[in-house]
Amino acid sequence: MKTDTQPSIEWFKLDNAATMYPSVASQRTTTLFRIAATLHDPVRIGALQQALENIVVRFPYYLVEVRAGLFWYYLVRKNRMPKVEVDTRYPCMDAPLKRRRRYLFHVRAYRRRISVEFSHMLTDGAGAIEFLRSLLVEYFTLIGVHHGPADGVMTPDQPVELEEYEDAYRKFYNPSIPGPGREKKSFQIPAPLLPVGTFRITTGIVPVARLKEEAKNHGVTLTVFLSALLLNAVQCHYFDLPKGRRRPGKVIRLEVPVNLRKLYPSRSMRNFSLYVTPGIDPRLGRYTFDEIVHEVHHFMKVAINERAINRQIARNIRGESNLVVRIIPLFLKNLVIRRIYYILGESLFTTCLTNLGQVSLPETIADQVERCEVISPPSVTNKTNCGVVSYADNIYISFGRVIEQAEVERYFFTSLVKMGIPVKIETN
Amino acid sequence: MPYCSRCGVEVDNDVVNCPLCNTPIQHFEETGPAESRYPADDVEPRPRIGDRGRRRILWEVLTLLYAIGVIVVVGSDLRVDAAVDWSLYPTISIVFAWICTTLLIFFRKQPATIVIGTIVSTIAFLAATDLVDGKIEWFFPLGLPILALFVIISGIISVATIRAKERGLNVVAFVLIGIAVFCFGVDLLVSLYLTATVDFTWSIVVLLTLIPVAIILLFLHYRLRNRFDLKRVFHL
Repeated sequence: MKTDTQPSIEWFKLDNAATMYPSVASQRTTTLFRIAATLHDPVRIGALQQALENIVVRFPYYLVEVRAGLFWYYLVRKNRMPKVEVDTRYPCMDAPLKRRRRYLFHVRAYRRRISVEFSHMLTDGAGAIEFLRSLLVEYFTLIGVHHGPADGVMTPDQPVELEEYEDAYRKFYNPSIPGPGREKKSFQIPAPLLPVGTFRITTGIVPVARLKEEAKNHGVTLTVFLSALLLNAVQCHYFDLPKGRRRPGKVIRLEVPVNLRKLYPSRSMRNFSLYVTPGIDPRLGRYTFDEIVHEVHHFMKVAINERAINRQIARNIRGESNLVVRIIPLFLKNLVIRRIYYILGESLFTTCLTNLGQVSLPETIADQVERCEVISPPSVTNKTNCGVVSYADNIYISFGRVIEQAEVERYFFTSLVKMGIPVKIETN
Repeated sequence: MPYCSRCGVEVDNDVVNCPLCNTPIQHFEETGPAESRYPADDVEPRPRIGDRGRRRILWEVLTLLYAIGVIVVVGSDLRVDAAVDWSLYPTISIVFAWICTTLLIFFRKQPATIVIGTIVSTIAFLAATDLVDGKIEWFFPLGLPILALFVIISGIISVATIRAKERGLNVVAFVLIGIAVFCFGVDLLVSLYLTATVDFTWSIVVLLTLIPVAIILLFLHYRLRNRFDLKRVFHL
């Protein structure tokens, strides 16, 4: 439904966080992440396709392909309808996103599960969740389960707001703020990579109430608690390694993305998240779990506030707006961007923990959905990454890895079991 | 639902080994297999280029580059005076470089083959360079003896280094003595070839500079090391 207020933007720049992704996108670093919902009943593919076609006009900023300009990549609007695709054994893989006639997102279905895979070139987890919620409401409306309006869910009859297109980083950029200090490289799990196209998923299902109770006993939030668990798991793996393979002098550091929509008033549907990096330094000796919890808790308190985040935004926008950087032709930029992405991005973290929080669905359809999952994008540097989402009574902790060993996963989940919290494990 | 006895985690009915620690899962009751969570189709692993394949590709690329070099020099030579004369020198050098790279690429793990192959091809290179103008002039009086001298001295240094109980400043001293002796030999051979007399000129300077340094280093290494710890003086 097109109204006069609806902006029709034929092409636009990638947002600040997405700038590097087209250059680094490859068969291994696909930049894709997945959010999936498993229903109680098998997916009706016809209804799903129709639902997708109905809602996708509400998200015109996702109906884009990526193209190379002379100086930068850009996104160009297309009107072709996306198709629901069959699921693959390895999620977030095999997506030549930079080819023509390829959207930067997929909707996939398998048995009872509806998955959306988005490239980080388009949006972050918050945008993808909005899209999935909208898709689910429309799907259940079409098969007659849901009727009437759904509060807080984007529906096709609403107009598209210009604000949803915005590069919010640029909006909240303050040129007079100094950037944050440089951080040093961190420890990387030493292990050979699996063949290209393979991505091992290990999902642990944990009752959310038990986990919250345990976090509360430590006096911290769920994200802090999970981050501490993950740091502890990496630490255990680190001290298992023979001394020669520990790469001394490196810290163990997590990348924990923060949804900036909660800190800044923006309704952007594109990337608007940055990260904080809690970590421990194994050169100072082995930390107890409680020590790690304290470290992470206080670090997060300091790091997650507008002042600290403003500095990150300032650094990132300044890098992109630098005249010298801008006038270098794209093919020359591409030669160095991978390296820069490694130096300024991935090499600073050992692994990533992204917590998307609770997925909420309108009451009428909530009991139709059994569970949700999030799978963070594969990375060849941070070989094991973790995505967390909770739905109804459970929390779904999905590790994705591009290596054979599941040591970090094993330490993570067994430490939960040792606390008396039941864990159910699933893999692909 | 079955449990892993080691990790304590719960797994699906159809799981044989624990996905975390690979411990076999005990199944106490027969239950039907759980619904699979992902399609079973695996990705076809792409054929990987092994180490040997990579080396072959490197060799092919380098061979191509060398061939282009030969074509360019021979072509320019022909273009100027319709005859191949001066371009023989660069061509011989390129062929020599090609042989050396081929040896390095394919016999990396056989140092003896590389050494012997390099020596033989150097002899051939020197002989061929001398032969370009149609007659053998300096190959026997100069080329071959200097090469032999170099090989013998390098061999002696290597053996001495390998045999040394402790390696440190003594290795530097061996190399310096080797350079001095080599210069001495080159000076001798050149004067024999040019004037047919035994006349040392510049090599005396080299000798007088390097040998005292070598003696000091050997003294430091073999005598002073045991007397007091040099690290005390030179610590950073």
